[in-house]
Amino acid sequence: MEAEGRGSKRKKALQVALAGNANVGKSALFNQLTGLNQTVGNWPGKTVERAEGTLYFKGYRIRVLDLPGIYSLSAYSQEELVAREYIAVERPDVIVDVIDASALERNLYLTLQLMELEAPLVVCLNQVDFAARRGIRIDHKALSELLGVPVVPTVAITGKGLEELLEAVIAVAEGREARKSVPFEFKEDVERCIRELAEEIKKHASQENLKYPARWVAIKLLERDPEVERLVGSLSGGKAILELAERLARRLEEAHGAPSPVVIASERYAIASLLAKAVSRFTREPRLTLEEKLDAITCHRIAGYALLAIMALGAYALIFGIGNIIAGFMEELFDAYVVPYVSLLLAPSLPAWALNVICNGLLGGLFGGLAIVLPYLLPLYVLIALLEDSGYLPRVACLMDPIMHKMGLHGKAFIPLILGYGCNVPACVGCRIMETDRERTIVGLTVVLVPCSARTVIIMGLVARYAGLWPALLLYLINIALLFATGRAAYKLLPGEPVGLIMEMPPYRRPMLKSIAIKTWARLKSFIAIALPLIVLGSLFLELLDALGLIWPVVSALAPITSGWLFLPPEAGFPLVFGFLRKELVITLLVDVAGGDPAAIMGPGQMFIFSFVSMIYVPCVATIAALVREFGWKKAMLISLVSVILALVLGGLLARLLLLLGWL
Amino acid sequence: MGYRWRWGRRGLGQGPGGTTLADLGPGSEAVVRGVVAGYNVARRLADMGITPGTVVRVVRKNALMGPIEVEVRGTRLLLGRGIASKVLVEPIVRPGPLPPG
Repeated sequence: MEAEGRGSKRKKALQVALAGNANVGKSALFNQLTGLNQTVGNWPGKTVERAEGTLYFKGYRIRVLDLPGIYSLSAYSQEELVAREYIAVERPDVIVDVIDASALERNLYLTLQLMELEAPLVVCLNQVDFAARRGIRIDHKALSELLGVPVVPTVAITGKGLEELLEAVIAVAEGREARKSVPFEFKEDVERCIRELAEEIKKHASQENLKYPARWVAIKLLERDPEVERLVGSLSGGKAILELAERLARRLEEAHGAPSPVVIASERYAIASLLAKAVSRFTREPRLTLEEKLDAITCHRIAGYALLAIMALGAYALIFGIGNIIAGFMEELFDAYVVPYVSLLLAPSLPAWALNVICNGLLGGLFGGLAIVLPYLLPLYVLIALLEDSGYLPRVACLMDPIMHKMGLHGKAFIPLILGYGCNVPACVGCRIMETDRERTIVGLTVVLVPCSARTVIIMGLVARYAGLWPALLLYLINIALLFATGRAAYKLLPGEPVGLIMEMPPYRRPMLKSIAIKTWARLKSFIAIALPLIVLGSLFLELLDALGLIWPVVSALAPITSGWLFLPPEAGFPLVFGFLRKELVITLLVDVAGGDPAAIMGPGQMFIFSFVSMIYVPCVATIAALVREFGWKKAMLISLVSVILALVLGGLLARLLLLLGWL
Repeated sequence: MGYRWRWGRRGLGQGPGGTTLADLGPGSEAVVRGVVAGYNVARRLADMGITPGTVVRVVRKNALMGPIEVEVRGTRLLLGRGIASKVLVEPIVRPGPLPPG
């Protein structure tokens, strides 16, 4: 796939999108095609990851967009909505539908919907090697005949078949491939309803107004798709269409004894099933006995949890081990080279106070981001990619599901929560694995309360050191109780319908180094772009305030809260304010402000309160940045506010409790 | 919105009387007869292949009232216990091995 005529001016451009289920090797394909030429971001206004890249092939400059993994084109999740809107509105030149040869029937369900959307399609029959090993052989030529679109067998992780795939893409883009116009028909009575509805739709709106093909709209209306209902309702004459749709849907429901969305889904699966059977040959029973034996261990009532605990501890040790090494290295680099160099450079031209602001603010911020957060993010992202690619993640969700239910969430939510113990930033980003907005918000709210490594430093350095190990442990236990309480409260208070766990259980696969490297790099790049500038700006801002002598007035203004409500010495306000910026600074600042020994200004009870408040109140600037990216400004501010309020209210109550018990 | 679909062999408007997926033992097979859930869940289950007349096989039931793993249409799904208890099924009884002679 190397450059051909890269320098030529007359280069033809193509827009290609990759669609398909999760776990079909779509990312592997995307990585093979675009390599490091990819950027990862978000769809504007949505918490759905958007990955794009470019490649050059036979004189074409091909922009590839990796659509999120989806099972259907319903309104069930943001991912599906994003995908279908993109296909209908942006109209890419070709859609490559990546299907897993081992799960043909379910994958074809999506293919049929893509064809309903009249997308220019090339089917990529991936993982044929894996299927062959399981005794499944697919006749791709027959499938191509039946579907009326090119079907190219590939093994994406090795790159096999990719050239043929790109040839097919270009053939479709150039119009050299004939396509059936209405590829498949449902059962007679369903088809009649669709046609009647489609005719009515065509009377009131052209495809330009609608963006979507009339037949697709008809099918979706019969499926009672809320988004399409809204779209049609806004058209002139839309009410009549909706009424007709309702009548027809009811007719189907009475005839089939099931809700119309299920009737249509059933019909579609019936077609998918026929297609799959027609082109599949089984050379042996396709039962995954090895899988099931492995799962008997990983999901075992005792061994499974033991294994998970070991993995978690191992991961934690790895992340902090490697993180510490990198952090130490970065710190040395900064102290030995960067700071002296910069001060030397700027000293002659700036007054002392400005130099201070630059060194502590700008460099301090850079240091904080690069030497404190990043070293831990690197091994963390590598481990996440490993978990994703190996297929172990769903097993984790399985084990944790019953416990998560007590928190008002389901199994998948365990992953962002456990990430939070390392750093809240990737934990917030991890919230996107939840399917609905409601669940993402609940997890987001809960995750910012999880004590990240910086907060652990405070708990260890203050409470464990001066009050003992048991009080420190108690703090963690209180925290866990708080997580459960917050989760349940959010579950009851947030609008929307809770959804339980419905997840695909993918087979185990061998993770590929290239894929892990690419995923990790893309995620690090994205963190650096968003969080780092904010950390630096925040740092600069606070240093500026300090230089202008505004810190102490602010701290004294807060004294009624720190002393009056929380029973802490007023000086404690200083590290708490800075803690908003970088939690790791809290301990060193407390030491500073106490003149060398925190015990001089605080008793153990007060340290407990101080650590408690630090553990819960607003996450650091980097976390807020991640929250903004994942949830938007409004929700991010709301979540931050809730954490501050919780910290203050509970902190004050705790203070009074300790006073009552005589422990203050 | 806010539909509560109640359908299947037990008839509309009645509670989930009858065997559900959560009642089956590991290794057993059954035919899906109905689903008692709101739009989101019913839709999602249908999209993943759980539609009336589909054969499901219970692969394993996890501890602590954990999720149930099923095989449906050649692939495996993990369903939360609550979700599984919303899927009405009719167990398939396979005849045992014939006695010798």
